[in-house]
Amino acid sequence: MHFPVALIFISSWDALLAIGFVVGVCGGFWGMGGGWIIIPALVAMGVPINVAVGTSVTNIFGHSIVSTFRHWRFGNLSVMITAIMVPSRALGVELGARIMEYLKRAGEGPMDLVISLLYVVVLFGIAAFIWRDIRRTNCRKRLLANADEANAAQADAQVLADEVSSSLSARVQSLKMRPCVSCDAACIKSISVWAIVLVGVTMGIMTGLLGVGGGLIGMPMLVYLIGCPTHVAVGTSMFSAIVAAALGAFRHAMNGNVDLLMALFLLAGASAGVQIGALATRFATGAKIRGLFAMMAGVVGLSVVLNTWLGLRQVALIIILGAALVICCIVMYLLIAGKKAARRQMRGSNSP
Amino acid sequence: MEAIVQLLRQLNDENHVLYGVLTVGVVAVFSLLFAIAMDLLSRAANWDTSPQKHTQSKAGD
Repeated sequence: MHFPVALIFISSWDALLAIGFVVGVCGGFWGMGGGWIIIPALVAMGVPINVAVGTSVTNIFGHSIVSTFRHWRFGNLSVMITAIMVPSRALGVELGARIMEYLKRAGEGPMDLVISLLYVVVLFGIAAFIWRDIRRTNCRKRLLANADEANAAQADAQVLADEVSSSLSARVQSLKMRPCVSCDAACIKSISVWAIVLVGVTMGIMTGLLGVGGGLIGMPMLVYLIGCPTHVAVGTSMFSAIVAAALGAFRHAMNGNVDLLMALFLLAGASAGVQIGALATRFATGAKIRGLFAMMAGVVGLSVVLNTWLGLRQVALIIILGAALVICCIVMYLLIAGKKAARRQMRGSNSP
Repeated sequence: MEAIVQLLRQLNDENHVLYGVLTVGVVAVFSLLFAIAMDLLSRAANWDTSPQKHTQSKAGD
């Protein structure tokens, strides 16, 4: 098939569907766009980098709509947080673009170094922070389970393991800088609007400076700083991406960077994948979602080191695509295992 | 199919704004229709799509 804007011929369009599917699974499960998978994969297929970026943004716009719809059905959206985050995110994008302009003036070498260094620090930082949190959670879970073998204690341990709001988020929620809002969907009684603005601006700066969609930073920040339950953070992160991605898709399309036909093939795969990713969140604990996210952030960080600093572009691409595929399989396994367990439980409760 | 490819190429070359609007519009409509169709399908297949109950524990405090 010939693609009119990318100006390439791809004989097997099912490869596009497959890439879209993997991106959709990850997006539905973590609430992120997946540009980190699509862009290197399209470039490897021979698509010019500008068209790969534009087409990726367009696909993110489409699959964030599908994913948001599914998470809205599950009650995983906080409209209040999104309404505050969207304008502050736009402000952050502008700030990020200005910082980028400032770095450009310093020269291409220093700019590349600063951006790649920041990217790696952010990715490894997120991975390390989440791993530390999960280890602490597991310790608490073991302690609680050992302390009392009664069912109540097990239930407590399960709840604690599932939804961990760190002491950081508790401290942020205790700050009463007016105006404050309450978010029922996220079980937050009162939080300062400025804390949510800070998250939005940080996500925007990352988008403007590093080109990452914001989901990479957004989900952990919503969990650890704002105190959202992980599932709500996933849905809210995806919801807040719609406006930014729509504007990005429009701008890129006007500049001739979007191959609509290619974007639709990717979107068809992603829309199917999103259903699986979002459904799998019903059977995965918050700790599992965050644990896999930390693993992925570490792998993306490693691929940036290999690509930018060591010049091993092909190895970085293989690592990224391999990791995405493995994570996709794990998510599908979680969904199938969860469905089977739910069916067994239902049969057990029906039998006399 | 060839006619669609030609039309898209022509729009991309000659009318940038229309191509931008068309891109965003087509993708939005496609996504919404797909989302609604999948929602109906999952209900027909008897999947549990009811809202979840979230809790916010104070672990780590």
